[in-house]
Amino acid sequence: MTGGALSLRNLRFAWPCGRRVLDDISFDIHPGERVALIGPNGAGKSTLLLHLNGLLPDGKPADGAIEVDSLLVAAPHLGEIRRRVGIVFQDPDDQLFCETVGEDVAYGPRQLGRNRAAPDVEGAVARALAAVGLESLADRPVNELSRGEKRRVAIAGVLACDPSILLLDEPTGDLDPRGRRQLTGILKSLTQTLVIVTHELEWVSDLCSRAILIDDGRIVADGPIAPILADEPLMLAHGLERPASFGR
Amino acid sequence: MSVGSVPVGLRLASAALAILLLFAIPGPVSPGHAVYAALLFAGFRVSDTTLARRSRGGWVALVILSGAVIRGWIAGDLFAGLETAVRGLLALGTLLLLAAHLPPAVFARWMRDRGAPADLVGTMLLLLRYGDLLRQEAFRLERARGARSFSRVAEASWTAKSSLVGALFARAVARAERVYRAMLARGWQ
Repeated sequence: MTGGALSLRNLRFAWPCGRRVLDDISFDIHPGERVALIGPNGAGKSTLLLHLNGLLPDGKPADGAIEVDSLLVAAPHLGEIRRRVGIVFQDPDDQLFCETVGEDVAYGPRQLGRNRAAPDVEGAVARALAAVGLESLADRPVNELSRGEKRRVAIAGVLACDPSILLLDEPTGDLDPRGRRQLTGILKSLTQTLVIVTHELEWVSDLCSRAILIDDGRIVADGPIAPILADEPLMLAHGLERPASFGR
Repeated sequence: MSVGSVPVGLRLASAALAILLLFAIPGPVSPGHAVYAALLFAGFRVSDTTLARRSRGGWVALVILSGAVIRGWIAGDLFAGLETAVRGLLALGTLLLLAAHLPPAVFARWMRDRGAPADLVGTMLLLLRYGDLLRQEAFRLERARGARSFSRVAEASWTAKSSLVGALFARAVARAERVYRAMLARGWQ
């Protein structure tokens, strides 16, 4: 599937305890665009991702408007929104809840109502596993996988649902250099719209053309990634560091 | 021929028949039970699955127990109360050996192919997967606590153990919430 479009207008969110996490967030992401969502810990990046898939605010209408391909992220569209917007969570163990790789990758397609056409599910699983280079691991128990393999299976599980937008929450968090290289190759091969939350600024600058810097629940910078990463005062003011290869 | 090549249905039927016979045949525990225990013991010895290896220690105890009961039976019913325990242990051993050679994913596929409700199979697999994750979580907590415990007495205290259980519960709840979100994100309703 090709990329989808995302639009946010004046999104606000506070946890039930009253702590405000997102404050007046607005931006547009065009089909096929690759965007890095950066910012210090606790800035609200992961919370924002959960909104884009309709996982927050827990079934209630969002304070603000979120649209995916002009479809409002709210009931009764949540099923369709979750088919279009795939999310890869920070910890793959949260995401891989079936016994084997094949079962887990098949979970999404089965839930999306394709279970009446079994070959379709099998085809979706085979294509998704091929996209992440794990065709041979379909029968492998999930608990026998390395961290990098789990990450790739998590991505396959989302790709099997054929989303048009892919959200990734700190995808390199626990990967070794080889795992990171493999992940980079996979992400570069995708045609979907990508939104990547990460602290790995050097890595993400190779993947994304645009960055959105969030701090304290507000957007403080939005634009081409290179000038933002090269702006040392901006980066330091918001708990980040200019990557070594920028601004020299 | 490996156990894996035996049809799942035959494996299940054999175990069910063995357990049925263990409880259905009337009369005291007989040398036949000891022979069955020895066969099970041999099965655990040659099996190379993790579950079978972990169960071996228990089988030594069972064989000793069986020997004691048989001796009592020969001597005049001194260990009659243990007969039920022996039958129960043999049935448990049969189930353990079956589980050691029937991976949950294979069993789940077999159930699904025979029309078991997808929700039932999915829930079963979810419980198995998260049972394993919880075990790993408990191991990490225990190891982290051990790394900063400088007295064995303190480490073994009820206070330390209860705080471990509390922390494990809190982590399990947090993980359950994240898993629920992951399921919702992939279309679960």
